[in-house]
Amino acid sequence: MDFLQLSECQKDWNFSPQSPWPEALPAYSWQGQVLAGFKHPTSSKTVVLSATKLSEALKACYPSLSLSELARLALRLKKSCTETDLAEIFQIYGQRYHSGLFDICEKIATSPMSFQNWAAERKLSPKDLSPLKLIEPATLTPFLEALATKKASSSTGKKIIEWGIEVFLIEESLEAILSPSEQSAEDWLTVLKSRRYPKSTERDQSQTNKLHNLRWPKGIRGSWQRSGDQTHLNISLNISSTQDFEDKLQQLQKISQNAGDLF
Amino acid sequence: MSDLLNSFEHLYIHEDSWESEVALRLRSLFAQEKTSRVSQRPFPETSGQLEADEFDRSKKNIYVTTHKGAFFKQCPGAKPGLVCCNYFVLNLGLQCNMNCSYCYLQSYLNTPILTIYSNIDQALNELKILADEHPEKHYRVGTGETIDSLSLDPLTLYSHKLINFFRAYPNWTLELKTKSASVDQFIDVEHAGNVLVSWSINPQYIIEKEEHGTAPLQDRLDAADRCLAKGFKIAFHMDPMIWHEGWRENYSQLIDEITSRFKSDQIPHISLGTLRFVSEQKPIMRERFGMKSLVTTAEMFPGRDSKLRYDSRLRNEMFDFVLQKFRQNDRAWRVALCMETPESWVTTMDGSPRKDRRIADLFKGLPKKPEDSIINRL
Repeated sequence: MDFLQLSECQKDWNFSPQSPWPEALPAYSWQGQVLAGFKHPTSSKTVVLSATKLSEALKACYPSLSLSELARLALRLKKSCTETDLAEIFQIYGQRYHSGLFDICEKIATSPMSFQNWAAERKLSPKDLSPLKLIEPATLTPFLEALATKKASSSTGKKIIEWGIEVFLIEESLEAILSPSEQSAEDWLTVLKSRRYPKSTERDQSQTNKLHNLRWPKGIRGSWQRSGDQTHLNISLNISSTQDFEDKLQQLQKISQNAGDLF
Repeated sequence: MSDLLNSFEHLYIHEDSWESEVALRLRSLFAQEKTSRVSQRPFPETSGQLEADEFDRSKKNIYVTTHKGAFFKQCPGAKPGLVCCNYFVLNLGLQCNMNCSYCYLQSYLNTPILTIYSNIDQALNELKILADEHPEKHYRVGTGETIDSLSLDPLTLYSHKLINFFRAYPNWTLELKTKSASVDQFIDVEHAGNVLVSWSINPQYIIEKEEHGTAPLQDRLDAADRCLAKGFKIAFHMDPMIWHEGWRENYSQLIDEITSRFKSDQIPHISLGTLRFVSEQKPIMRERFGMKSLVTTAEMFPGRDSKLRYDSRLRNEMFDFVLQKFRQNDRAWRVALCMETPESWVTTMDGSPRKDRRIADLFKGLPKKPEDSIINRL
């Protein structure tokens, strides 16, 4: 095993890994480049990795890296690495490298750290984060930080990112996509959806209002529901007997006569 | 022609196609310094679904090569849950030199360069096998699925070969579908009255906003006029209809334009479709056209075929509006919905297309898998 003084290494690729490198472990270097243990004292020694490629040396130090970590690493390596080296690093961590992926990484790496950590915890993919390509993350800092603060789930967060950025670009207003601190991520998503789909939301709401204006007998409930590109009236009935069933059917008949322009 | 030639940065010809008829013609048109003979596809590092910049680049370079595999395929509308019209596609190339924001090629293509197949004779052989097997059937064959039928035709002149071929099969219909006005290169070719030239049309407002690099509406309609005068059949695809503020006025004007220039008995059919695309297409459209486009900002929902579509009520409202406009002019206009659900047909067309005498012929059952018989024989 070869060793090299940390202070003798020419480069340091500190990409702020999410988990701190254990102090008990030595720092690692490859061809004079520090890959792990960045915070170790400069007087300490690094274990020199004998891997033939940077990607293999990295994998030896970090068996897995989140996309956020990869993004920060790629940005640090950009000027010193060839495109092929970068592609190998992404590939060894299960990502197909292309220019578009690097563009997303640039956006991720320049977004607030709390957002980066949230995206890593939620295991968001390049596709999930692709709307970031449309913006400068610095302009949306409070929006992106709110995702982490509100601890949005993966599925809710993906939609918030997509609809939020789309609404921001359509309305050209940051205020339009921000959420009060007390609002939950799910409620925030509902608000964003109504801004992203204003006409459909208005139409669905109008149908719901019409339903409310109908007189619903006890034991019968109607709600206007959307299923993809279709909407429909959903009716639930509480039936206690054959007679009750027949009565409710008659009452439904009356409702349908008053339904007017519902359909 | 010079505008068309100048729109390309480079012409690559695979060595296997170097002496092909189409390559010889293209070599005579392109400057020598813009032409290369290659032994493999250019941009080999690009694979899989194209990124936005790769897609843009793919429109600026041409690659002439042979097509491996069968040319002849059934229309993608022939899927469970959709009503389709027995349309078959013959792909003579990949990618389009025009640039519509909604183009499905953005999510479909995995070839990083506009490709023209040099072995059109093989394509015609495939057609001949099927044609000889079912000469009495009324197949409709279109070439505009993965490449515009005519926008590059001044370069390839493939229309000549196709029209000549179809002269021997008068029961069959060749449909050349385009958003260009490029018809003069074939307009004097003798035909058997079975060539239908069709235009995808939209109000000029939509053309300017979403159909970049395509011919203006008036040029398309003028081209249709010229074709009609030479005995070609013509048709229109009002597809994709795109919702926007003022859509009623704009589509109304478009219909007025058509009904004032053409008579219902001159147009075998007009197909209608509203905006639709697969969800995978959204990111590339957003990147390429931003969020000011009527397409990227549209309110779309997943339909039963998982494509994103307008709300079904809005679709029906749009279809109904257009149908009523045509019927107010003349009830004989033959209007059909393209890639739509049976519910939309029933809601807006008063029933299944197979029951509408004006357009029922389009939807008659045919031997369903001609491509199978070809694949089995080749």
